[in-house]
Amino acid sequence: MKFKLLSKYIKLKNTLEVLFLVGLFSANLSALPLPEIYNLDLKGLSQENISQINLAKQKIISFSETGSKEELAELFGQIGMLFHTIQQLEVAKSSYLSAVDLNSKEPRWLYLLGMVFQQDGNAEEAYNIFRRSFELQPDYLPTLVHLGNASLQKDDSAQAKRIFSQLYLQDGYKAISAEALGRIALKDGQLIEAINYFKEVLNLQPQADRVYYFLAQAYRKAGKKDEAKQALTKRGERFPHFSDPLMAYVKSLNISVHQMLTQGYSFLKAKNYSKAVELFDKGLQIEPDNVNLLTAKGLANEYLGNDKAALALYKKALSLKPTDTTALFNLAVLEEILQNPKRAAELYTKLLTVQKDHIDALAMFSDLQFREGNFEAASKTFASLQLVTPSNSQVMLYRGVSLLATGNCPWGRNILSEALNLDPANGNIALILSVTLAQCSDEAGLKRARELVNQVYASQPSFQSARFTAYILAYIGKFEDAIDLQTQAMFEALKNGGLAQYPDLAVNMKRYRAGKKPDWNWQAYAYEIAKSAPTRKGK
Amino acid sequence: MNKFIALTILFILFTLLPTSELYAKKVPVFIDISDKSGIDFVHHNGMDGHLYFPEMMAGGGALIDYDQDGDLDVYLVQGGILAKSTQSDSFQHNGGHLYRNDGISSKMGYIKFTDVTNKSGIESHFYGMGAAVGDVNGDGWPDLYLTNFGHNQLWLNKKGHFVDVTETAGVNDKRWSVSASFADIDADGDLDLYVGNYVDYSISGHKICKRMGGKADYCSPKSYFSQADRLFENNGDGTFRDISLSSGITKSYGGALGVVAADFDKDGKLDIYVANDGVPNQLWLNQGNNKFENEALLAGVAVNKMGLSEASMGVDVADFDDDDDLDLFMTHMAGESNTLYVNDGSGWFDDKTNKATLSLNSRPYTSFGVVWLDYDNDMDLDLMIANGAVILNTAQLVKGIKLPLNQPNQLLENTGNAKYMDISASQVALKKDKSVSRGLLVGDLDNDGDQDVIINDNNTTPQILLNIVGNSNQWLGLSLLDKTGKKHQLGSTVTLQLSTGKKLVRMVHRDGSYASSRDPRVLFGLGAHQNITSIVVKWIDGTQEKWLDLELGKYHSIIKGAGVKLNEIQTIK
Repeated sequence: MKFKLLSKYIKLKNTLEVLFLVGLFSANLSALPLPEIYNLDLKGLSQENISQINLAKQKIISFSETGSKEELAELFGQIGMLFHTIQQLEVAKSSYLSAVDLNSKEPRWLYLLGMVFQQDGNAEEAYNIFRRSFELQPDYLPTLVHLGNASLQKDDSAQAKRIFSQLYLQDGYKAISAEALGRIALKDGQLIEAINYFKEVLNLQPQADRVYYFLAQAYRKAGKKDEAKQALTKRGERFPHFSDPLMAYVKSLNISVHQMLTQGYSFLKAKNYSKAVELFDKGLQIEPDNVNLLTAKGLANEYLGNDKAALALYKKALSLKPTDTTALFNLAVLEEILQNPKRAAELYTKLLTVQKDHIDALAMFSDLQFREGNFEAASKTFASLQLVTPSNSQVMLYRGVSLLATGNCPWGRNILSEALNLDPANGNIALILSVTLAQCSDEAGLKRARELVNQVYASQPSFQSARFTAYILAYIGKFEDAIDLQTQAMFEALKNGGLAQYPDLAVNMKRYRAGKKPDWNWQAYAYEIAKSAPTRKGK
Repeated sequence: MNKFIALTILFILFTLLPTSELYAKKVPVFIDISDKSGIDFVHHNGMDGHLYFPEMMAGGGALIDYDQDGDLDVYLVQGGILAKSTQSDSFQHNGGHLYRNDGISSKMGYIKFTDVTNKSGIESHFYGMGAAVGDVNGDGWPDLYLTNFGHNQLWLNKKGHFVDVTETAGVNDKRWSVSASFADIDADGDLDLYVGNYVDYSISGHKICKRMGGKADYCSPKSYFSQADRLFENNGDGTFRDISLSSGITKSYGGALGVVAADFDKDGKLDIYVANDGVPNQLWLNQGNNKFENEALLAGVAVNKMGLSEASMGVDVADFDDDDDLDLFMTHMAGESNTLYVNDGSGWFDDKTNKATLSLNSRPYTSFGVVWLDYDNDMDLDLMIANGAVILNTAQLVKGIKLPLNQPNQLLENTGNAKYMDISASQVALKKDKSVSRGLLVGDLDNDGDQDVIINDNNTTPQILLNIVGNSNQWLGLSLLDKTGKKHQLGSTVTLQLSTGKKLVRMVHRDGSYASSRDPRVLFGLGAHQNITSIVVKWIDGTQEKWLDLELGKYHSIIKGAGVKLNEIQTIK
């Protein structure tokens, strides 16, 4: 009986879509009197969210016999909001429809139902629903924003213009209205008006950087190509903000750990580390042993300069899950920052036994080994990294130089040849390869080396191209030319930090003057190009 | 015999009804001859539960008259086993298949194909994604470029027998390529090659992605790095040089899935448009001297009208609104709409998806192959779209469907005034929710004056759909060929003028859709018109010629130099 009573209110608009959302049915399906659409797999949500949903379901079941229509509508609306916030829109839609059926005088459920239809791209339905909501509650201005947007989607510019012009006069809605009025003007070919509206938005809310795209389109149509290009360089993803307490409330219902983690990371990205810690702490209150939260909080603490706290958090995470790759990675990098390369190396090794293709770990570990002069190990780690990033010429370059530094010229040459095939315009690879061709190839290789250095020097005269070209010229006995280029290289080196960092320059200059073939120390060169140790700033 | 009767009844029914009533009366446009055509191909995506990325992205195919007997043969790309190895990726496969069109079988009443893969010499060695067709050495025999998850291959057609010339031609690319386009970008008379590359994925670097509920699902391209595309310039003899870097096309890239070459800004040079998955698309405007600049953002075709990047899969180019410029249609993920970019004549575009009523009907589907075609020869360009999800569908999973990504395909009727109506519901042949469609190949398989369709479905048999309504309207077919009469002039456009003054513009191209190559012939549907005033061809080198008195209802070879030359600066009247 209960099932029949409830299902009367469940509007299942699209059977296929509903089926899509059914999920793997739980074992006690038959025991639940709510339709199957409510029986989602909720793994991944916080315990609190799951409890709220289950409680809401129970309330609906018990009120279905004793409660009034209004009370039941409220419960359907509430459960709709819970599903809305976790983006289960079909269930949310179904719930709001039930709420509206039970209580057609409540504007909130109409508003939220309109939001779901709008997200589905169904502008026609959204418009009608927002209109009903607005009639019931004309002082809730966000409804007008969506009503206007739905009009625009429906291609009803005139109606949209009327709505946004009215809204433009309201405090707090000027920016969002100006943005919409700008788009309407753009569509109608009123380009100066459009440009002015977009500029006004950016003046009111400089962070609304998506508006630069619209501004660029307006400039473009006005024939102002340079201004359009300039605007495009500032283009971003953020829309103008307007206050919408109801949607804010819906969003606040999502208290999943995942949401906190995601939001916390957004704050980390925005460099608001304290706020990030606050969110991670909130998550840890729900799940104190959540390894992801512990690790994320560790990272936020690192940025705040609390290395001790960060170390403790990573270690706690690893005590709970010794194979957690993020915690292992973050701890390893922190150890590098704290100048403990040996401990960092141990952690990277451990991480790579857990996940041998962890790209970031392979990249960091190979760089560390290279920097520490452990070239043989580095060449192997770079080889593993190359397996998972087969098209990365930089990885090949470092792998090649690692091999050269261990004295394996032929293999180094082969790897560098492959890198150059992949990235033929990379001058650095061409220059390094030319030295290997001179050192461990035949006459044809030497000829190729000359071609390479000539090509690079001709297209990019620089310190490095002069230095390597001089080497090759000296190698084939053209000492005068080599001296000229070496002089140029030394001059460039002086301008950029001095000669001391490139000992080969002076040594080889002497050799060129004496008519001797050049000397080249691959290990010294490897140290020269090694990437510096990570810093907190660069993490 | 019964089939003949059925076809006759359908034909009579069709001729009695105006086109607008076709869908209302549920008259089928296509008949499905998949199990009778002789094409016994079964696509294998190699799925073994690991949810490897390439397995749900394949594959396309090509319509190619490889034996030059005047009808379209079919090449369908094959997947294979994607096995994990400790050393490197390894692939097992049984290769793509080439089917020869043997014309209409008198016994069956349908066209019949024969598998000639073994005789053809083609041995595709890698996990196939797509195919592009072009006569790279100008010998009049169309050659085949296969894009792969692995090394790509160029198969040179030597009078009907194919030879792998990938290495000697210099067009190898071991990145994961999906779509490619042959286009004469420097207008020097030979075909250059643009290869769209997807992401830096390897089996050894495979990631496990999950959705809500913690269940494993296919990853999105955002889980991997994008790879740069490649551009190869033809040396004139069918060998190529890689000009990717010097041309500027590596300055920006992002998971390319669709590629078309066309003169979007009408400056006489072929540009290249690249549809990218989840990041802004590129419009490489040809600056001359083999240099390109990406002007997609400025031109309004990088992101949709709300400034948002979309997961672009397939793309097609055509003058759908008959205003003498080339527009773009893009296919996207479920939840996003497909997008119509309308050219304002200068190479700048506006997103008019909503206005064309193309938004709501595309949102439930993830669309791949797409082609603008005049299926009913009523003079306007309709849309056919191949759909198939990329996120596992739980309901289908529960039902035990092995690859739970099924979605129905779509046919959208151009209802005039630049609007479209989804008429798929009236089309039984569109296999509702029974397939995971990817490549969409369109051409007149039976040379009867209407456009037929082949859809390469993932991990199953292809759909061979024969058009049974189009040729009841008047039509004109054209092959635009070079002076030797052998080579299709890809990128050339032809303007047909009716006695009413109305003009229709069509471009010769094989590229677009998704990982597929189409019929290079131009087919004008003419509705009830029984004569035309003229056709004017604008060749790829900018010269224009006019032809009069072409007999309707048949295909003509339009050979460069054989028409009446128009002054280059004279406007077409």
